[in-house]
Amino acid sequence: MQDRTRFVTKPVRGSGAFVTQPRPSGPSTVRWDGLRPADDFFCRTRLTARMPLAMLHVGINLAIILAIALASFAVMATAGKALAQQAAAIDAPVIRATYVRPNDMNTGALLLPSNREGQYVEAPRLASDVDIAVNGPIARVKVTQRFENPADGWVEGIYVFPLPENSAVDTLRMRVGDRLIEGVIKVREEARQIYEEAKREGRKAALLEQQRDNLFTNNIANIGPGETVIVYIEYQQTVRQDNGLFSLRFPMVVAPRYSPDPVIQTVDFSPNGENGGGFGVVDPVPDRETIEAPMLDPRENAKINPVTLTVRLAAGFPIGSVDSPYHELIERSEGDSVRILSLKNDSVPADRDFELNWRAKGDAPGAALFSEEVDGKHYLLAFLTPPEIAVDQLPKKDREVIFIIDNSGSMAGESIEQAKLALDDALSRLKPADTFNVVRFDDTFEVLFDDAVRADGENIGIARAFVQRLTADGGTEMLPALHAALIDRHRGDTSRVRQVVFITDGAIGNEQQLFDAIAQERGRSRVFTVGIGSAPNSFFMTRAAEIGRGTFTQIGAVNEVQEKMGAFFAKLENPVMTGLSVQGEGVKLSEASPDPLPDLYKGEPVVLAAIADKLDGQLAIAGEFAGKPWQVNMNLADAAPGEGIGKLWARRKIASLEAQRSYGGANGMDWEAVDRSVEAVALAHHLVSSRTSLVAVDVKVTRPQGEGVATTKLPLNLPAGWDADKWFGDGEQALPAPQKAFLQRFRQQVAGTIIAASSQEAAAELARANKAVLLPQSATPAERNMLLGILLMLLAAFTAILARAYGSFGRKVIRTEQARRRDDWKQLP
Amino acid sequence: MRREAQVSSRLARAVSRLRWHHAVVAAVFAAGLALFGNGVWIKGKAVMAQFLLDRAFLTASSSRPADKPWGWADIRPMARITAPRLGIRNIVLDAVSGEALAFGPGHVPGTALPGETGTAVFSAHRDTHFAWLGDLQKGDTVLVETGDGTVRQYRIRRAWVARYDAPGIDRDAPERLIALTTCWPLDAIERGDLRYIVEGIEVDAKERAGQNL
Repeated sequence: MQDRTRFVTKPVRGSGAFVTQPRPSGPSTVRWDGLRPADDFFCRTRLTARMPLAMLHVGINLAIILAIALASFAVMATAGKALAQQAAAIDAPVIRATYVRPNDMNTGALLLPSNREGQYVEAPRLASDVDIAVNGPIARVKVTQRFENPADGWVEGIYVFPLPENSAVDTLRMRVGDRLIEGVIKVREEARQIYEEAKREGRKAALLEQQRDNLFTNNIANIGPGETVIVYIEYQQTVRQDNGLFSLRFPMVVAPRYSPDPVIQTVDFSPNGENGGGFGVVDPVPDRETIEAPMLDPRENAKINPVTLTVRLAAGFPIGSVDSPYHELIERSEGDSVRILSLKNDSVPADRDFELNWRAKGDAPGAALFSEEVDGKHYLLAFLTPPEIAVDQLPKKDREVIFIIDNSGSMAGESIEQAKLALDDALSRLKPADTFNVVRFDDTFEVLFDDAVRADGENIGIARAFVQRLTADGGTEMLPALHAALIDRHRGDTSRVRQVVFITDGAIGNEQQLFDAIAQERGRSRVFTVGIGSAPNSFFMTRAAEIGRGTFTQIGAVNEVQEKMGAFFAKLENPVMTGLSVQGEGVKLSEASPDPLPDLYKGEPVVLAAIADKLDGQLAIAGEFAGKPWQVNMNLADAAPGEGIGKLWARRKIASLEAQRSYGGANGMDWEAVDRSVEAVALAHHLVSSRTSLVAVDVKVTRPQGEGVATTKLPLNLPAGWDADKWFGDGEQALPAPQKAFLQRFRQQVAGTIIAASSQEAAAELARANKAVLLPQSATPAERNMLLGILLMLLAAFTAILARAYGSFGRKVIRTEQARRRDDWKQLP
Repeated sequence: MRREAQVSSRLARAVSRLRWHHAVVAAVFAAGLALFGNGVWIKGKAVMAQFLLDRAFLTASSSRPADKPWGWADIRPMARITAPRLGIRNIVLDAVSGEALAFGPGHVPGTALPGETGTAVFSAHRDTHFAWLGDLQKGDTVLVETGDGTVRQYRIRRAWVARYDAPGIDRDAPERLIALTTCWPLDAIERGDLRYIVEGIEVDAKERAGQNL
């Protein structure tokens, strides 16, 4: 081995020739082949030489990418965590049960404005009395509740009561302090005006408005320090009926309200105010000190929060069995068909709604007819249960099911996941003999198969894959999809039932057009709606199903999908009675509802309300039962007199009027016309509705100042229907010891969280300020995405440049080496 | 023919030179581009939609609501908010769903309409339509024009930060107020529960006449 001078080959600028000259820098270690160890690296064949280098730099770059990505996520995570901590600091006390919102209440309660904005504290409930009278299919419920204002100042409270579905309030009476007030039905604005006026004059006043279909709030103004408030409401509901089982519910969850977990947290919330454009930032919740409210176990709760409940059950038929799954009852009979039931003394009110179930002795009645005369009109209520028939006796009909799924932008997020799950579940429940098709729509629509196909494994697989791929995007054009789904290619085919299942949140503006389309094109198809999300457009859903003679199922959360779809499908599979219609024979029937009559499924009755001009002639309900024509005639003269049937009819009438409001679209009935019709019906039947409220102001001073409230001293001129015992029962002296003790504790510990004012005006002001607005999310991921995007692109570019630099350098070295070797070979002797 | 052959052979050579690390680099670049594109799309949508909404808003009158801004839109323009000092104009929509807010500020349903007693609450994204909210100052004028052509003038009187579910907005205020709200902090990139709220009070016609004199 000798030292040898190394040569470098270089192109001569401008000439195209190459020149080989001694390498200018001095060699370090030169080996037998004349290469330095570093050169060795480049000089093997291209593939093997460059592989480790490529791997190295890709590895380095991947590491850099990862590091930067991780770092940026870490930064974001800490930022998020900081925000979340801030939020949590405010959030932690919110979960505590003492602070409530009107919408959370699942029992009647008097809420007083608290020191936390938009939230309330429940006034102690000293007594509740519930009186339910069931008369055939209608239940009338009278609720009396007694509260105390535990604060030592004036307050304006809200009484909330969660009504069962399809019920209507018609009576409100109150005692606030020593004043009795009674509600009258007025048009909404007028009622509010009367209330505001009374409030300003410092009189006791209450206003009961409908917030939503099943929630109303009752503002009670001018409750004095330590005053007792007694609220009495009356409402009516229909008895539920399913498979011969009659049932009734009363909202009575009482136990957990005063049992907060005692988290005490001091919050220092000082948002950075510099960005506010030069003016200060006000913390809207200045007083965040928390309180420790008394813990109550249900047993103790029963003592301090006593509930009495009686039910007079006049079923209209001989009663077989009665039971209440969650509460112990004392039962007494009055003849075959009447039972008197009451809660057992000292029974612990369960943490459940009160539920009462009863069955007929022997066969369940197949049909019943009740009537009530209001203002010269005969209101009829007929109910009809399909005759008992075993499922296997039903003519087996295969089905053609068309699913329509909404994948428009409004379904984005959890809704589309629910919808996909629901549809997937539905697909898996089809029988091989059924046929089906899937339609999806946003602002465009797509029909999966040309025609309904057999529900065999392959087709179901295709459909499930199709559903899986759906994403929520774009606008909502429901009409073309609906037209497509309603096209019936097998119109004459009586061996199959055609069912259209519509899965959507109903966020649309042209309801009326869709209703018209369903009414005109439904043919033999039945339209079922499955509402998705927590707040689907239930007007649309309900009405569409009604016109389409189907049913409406709502799915509110992903974990409900299976259960709800299971129940839904059990129904779909067993239509017992179809094509129902009602007619008067020898009598004029009008305004029948529901219109059209739905199909009846196993164990499900139809409850029909209508107006007759006289109680004569017959009511005929005809349809097809188990594949054969079937008819039931009922003599109007035999109708049992019932109570509240006019109200039931009115309630339905209002619901159908409300459904005609077109939300934002131009095709619906004029809003004002709907308003006027609703007002007319509600006023005539004394119902609280979207357009009418109950307003109450002082009716009478019942006792002179300074006198006790013992029953004996009461003047006997209470308005008709007022029960002196309930209204002037025991004063505080008469309260049982545990309740007294509780009250004292409550006053000490909770009173501080209630915002009471020294004057009535201030109380009203505070109450007003407490009604909060929810603000939507108002940040997009745009900036974050752009930032991350730029970072990634820069990285890629950087890597590419690097790779190129390495690559060209490598190639150059290789070329040089090859040339040198060639020279070396030439120089060999 | 030959040219084609040349091109294809060049292509083949180019392809043969591709290595797996090229693919990685390309993928990273593509991912970056996609993310960036998504951000641009969100911003672009916000700007484009406003043009279409502006056009649709012109069709509104006292007797009929505005046309839909595009055929399949779920939303309708409801009002125009102008901040003259900042030179800002926004068309407000009648909804505040996530979809709607991508196109423009929304009027929070259930709150008063402009001109009614109470607070009319408007919300928009802090990084698109309400990016200017932080520049509003006390005493600034904000104009709200509704579909019937009425223009109402509001004077900004205060601003504060609060949680989204207890914003301290008085929906039944005895005056005619507007509240413009967006996410807080204004320059953060993460979503949060805090909101920045700017409140203005309507300057009634009498007072305005006084100003003009």
